[in-house]
Amino acid sequence: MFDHLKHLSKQANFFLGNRWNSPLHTAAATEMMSCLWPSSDDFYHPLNPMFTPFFAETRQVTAYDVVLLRDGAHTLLDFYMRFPAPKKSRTLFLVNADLYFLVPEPWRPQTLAYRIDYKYEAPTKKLVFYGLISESFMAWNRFRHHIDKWLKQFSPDAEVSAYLAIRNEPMNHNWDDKTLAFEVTAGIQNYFKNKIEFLNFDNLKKQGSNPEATFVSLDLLRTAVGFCAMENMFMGQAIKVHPRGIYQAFNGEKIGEWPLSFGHKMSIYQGECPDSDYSTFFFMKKMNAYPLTPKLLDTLAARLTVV
Amino acid sequence: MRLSTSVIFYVVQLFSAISNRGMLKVCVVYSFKPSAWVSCQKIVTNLLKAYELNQDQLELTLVDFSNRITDYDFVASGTKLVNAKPDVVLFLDHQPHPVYFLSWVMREFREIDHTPAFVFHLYGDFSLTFKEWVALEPLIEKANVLWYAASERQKAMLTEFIPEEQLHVCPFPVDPKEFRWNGKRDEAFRKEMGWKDDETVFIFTGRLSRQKRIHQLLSTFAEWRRETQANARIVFVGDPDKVGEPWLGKPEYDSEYFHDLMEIMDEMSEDDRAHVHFTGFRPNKELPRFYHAADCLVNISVHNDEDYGMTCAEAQASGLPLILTDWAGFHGFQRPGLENEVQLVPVRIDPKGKLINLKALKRAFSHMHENHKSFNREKIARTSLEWTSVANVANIVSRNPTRFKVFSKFLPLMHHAGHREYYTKHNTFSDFKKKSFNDLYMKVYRHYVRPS
Repeated sequence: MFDHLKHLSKQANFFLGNRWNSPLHTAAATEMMSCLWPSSDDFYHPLNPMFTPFFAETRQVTAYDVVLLRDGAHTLLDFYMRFPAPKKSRTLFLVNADLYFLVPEPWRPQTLAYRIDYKYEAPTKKLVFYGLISESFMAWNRFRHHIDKWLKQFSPDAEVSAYLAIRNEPMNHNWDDKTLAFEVTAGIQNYFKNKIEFLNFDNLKKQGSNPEATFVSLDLLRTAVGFCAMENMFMGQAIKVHPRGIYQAFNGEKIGEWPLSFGHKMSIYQGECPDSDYSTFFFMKKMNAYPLTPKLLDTLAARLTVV
Repeated sequence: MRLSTSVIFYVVQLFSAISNRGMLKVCVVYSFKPSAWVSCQKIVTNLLKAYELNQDQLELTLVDFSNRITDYDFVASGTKLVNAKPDVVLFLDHQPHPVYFLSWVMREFREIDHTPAFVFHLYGDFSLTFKEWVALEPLIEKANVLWYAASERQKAMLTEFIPEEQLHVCPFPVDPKEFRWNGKRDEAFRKEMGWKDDETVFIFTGRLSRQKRIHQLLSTFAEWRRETQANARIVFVGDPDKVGEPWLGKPEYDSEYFHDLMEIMDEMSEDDRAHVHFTGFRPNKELPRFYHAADCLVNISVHNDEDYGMTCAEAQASGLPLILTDWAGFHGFQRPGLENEVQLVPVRIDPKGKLINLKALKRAFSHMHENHKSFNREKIARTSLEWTSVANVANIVSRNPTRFKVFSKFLPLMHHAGHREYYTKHNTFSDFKKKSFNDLYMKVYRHYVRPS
C-alpha cells in the first residue's frame, strides 16, 4: 500500500489552492481560508495537501489521485456532510489520525491516516504560543478549566511570546463583543512570571532562527487544521515543535514514514478505527444550525488526552 | 588622472575637518533590528567592528533605520543624524533602502545648508531595487559619494550602472576571533558526528536553495563516489528555502525543495545515502567546529545574489580548502598562492539558465580527495584573513576620504532597469513568454562569469 502511495505521489498534480486563478477557488473556500490564515497558507508536499472547502462538487472530489487533507474537525465534518459517500471518486485521501474517527464508513476503504511525529524534546526556556483565536475553533469553555493543568508541563520562569491570530468566525455571524482573546491571554499570563511578548506574523517567522525556542500550538483539539502551515514552516527550520493533543481512539497499522524535514517525519497508517462516532456527530451537526457548535466542540474536547 | 576641482576642494575640506577637530564625523546608518538573513547580520556586525577600529580618526554616531520603523522613531533617527551634522553618512545595511531615509534627511540638510558625503556598501540585492536607486539619484546629486562592492566581479557588474571611478572593492569582513585555524582538525567533533577518521569530509553550509544547486551537488557527488570508489562523505548544514528561480518563472512553495532533495535521496542506493548527511539548521556559533572537523568546503551556487559568499570567507578563514563555482564573488577566494587549495568550477551563462561544468566538479572532488592532507591549513587561513579580516577592512575603509568623487548621475542602464522593474513588477530580468532570462540579464550578469 505504501508503495502504491509513493507511486501516486510521483504522478499526482500538485494542487495550488490559494492561487487566484484556481478553478476550485470559490468565494466560500476563500472565506474559510482567510479565517484559517496563516495556518491555511499553501506549502508543498508530494501527497498534494489541500483543504476540503475547495471541493464544491462531486466531480472535483474525483479529480485527484491522492489528497492529503489538511482539515481540522470543523471543515472535515462539513465535507463528510456534503459528501457522505465517495460515489465515483477513487481518490485516496489521508486524514489526520487524530480525526480518523470522524471518517464515515463508506469513505474508509480509500482513506489512510497520517500522524506527524514531532521531534519532541523537553520544552526550552523560551516558549512561543501560537493559534487562531476564534470561538469556532477553540473549545475555550472546556479548555479554560484545563489550561492550568496543561501549562504545568512548562516552567513558570520561561520567557513567553505569543502569536494570537484573531480571526472571523467562519459560520457564526452573531455580533456580540468577543472576549476570547483577552481570556486566552489572561489564561496564559496568569501562569507565567514573565510578561508575554506579543508577536505579529513577521516576527513569528523570525523566531525560526532561534534554536532556543519551542513552538506550542493552542489548537489542541485540531478543530481548525489537521496539518498547519505554520507547523510545516517551523519543522522545515528544524525548530522544536511541541506535540499537539492526541485523541485515543485511533489504533491503525503503520505502513510507512514520510520525511517532513531533516528532523521531523509523518507516519502513515492503514486500518479500521474501532470507534465510529461519525453517526453521532452527523446527528448532532444536523440538529444544530452551524457545523461546530460549542456542544459539539465540548464533545470533541472530552476525547482529548492532553500531552 | 585629472581630479575635478570639486573633488580636490572636498578632500581638502575633509582633511581640514580632520586636522581642525582631529576627527571625521561619521553617522553610521543601519537596521538595529537584525536582518532575517543570517549572513547579513554577520556582515553588518563585522563592518561596524571595522569602522570602530578607526575610532582614532572617526567619531561614529550610530543611527537606527529599520524596516517597519514607527513614524516617531523614524523622525527621531533622522533628527539625530541631521543634528550631528556629519561629514560622512555611511549606509552599512542591505535593507531598508537608503532612499526612504534620505528623502526626509536631505530636505532637512538643505535647510541648514549642509551636504555630507555618502558611503554605500552594496549587497547582492542591489539588482532587486533599481527603482529605489533611480529615486535616490536627485537626492545625492553633486554630493561626494563612494560605492563599495564586496568583490571584483560585483564591481564589474556594477560598472553597468555606476560610474567606474566611484566604485571600489571592500570585502565583507570576517572576525578572526570567531573563525580562525586552531592548529589541528577537530577529531572529537568528527567522532560525535559519526564521520570516520580516514574519509574525506566535504561540507556545505548555508541555505539549501535551488539556485545554490544542492540537487546537482548531491547527485554529482554520489556519481563521483560510485565512479572513483572514494572514501568520502558530503555534509549539508542548513535549511531548505523557497527562493526558487523566479526569473525563470519557477516560483517555489514551502518544503518543495526539501521534497525534491528527498526524491533524489530515495533514488540513491543504500550505500550512497550512507555517505550523505543532512544536519538541518545549526546555529552560527557551531559552524567553527564543523569547519575544523571537515576537510573541504564545497559550494556550487549560481545564485543571482552571490556577490560575495560569507560562508566561504568564514570557512577559508578557518583553514578549509574550497571547491567553488567560478561565479560572481566566489572567484575572489582564489587568492594568489591558493590556486591549488581553491578549485573553481567553470560556469556558462545562457538565457535558459546557468550551466555548471559537472565534469570539472568531479575533477575538483578528486583533486581535493587526493591532496587535502598535504595542504597547509594555517597558510590558507592566513592568506584568507590577509584580505577578509576585520583589521584589513578597517585599513581599506580608513582610505575613504581620499576616494570620494562627486556624483552626478547613474549610467543610463540604471534608468532602463528601473523602468523595467516598475513595469514588470520586479521581474526585471525575466522573459516570461520564453521562461528564460532576458537580454538585460545577459548583459548585466555576464560579469559574474569568467570572460570567454
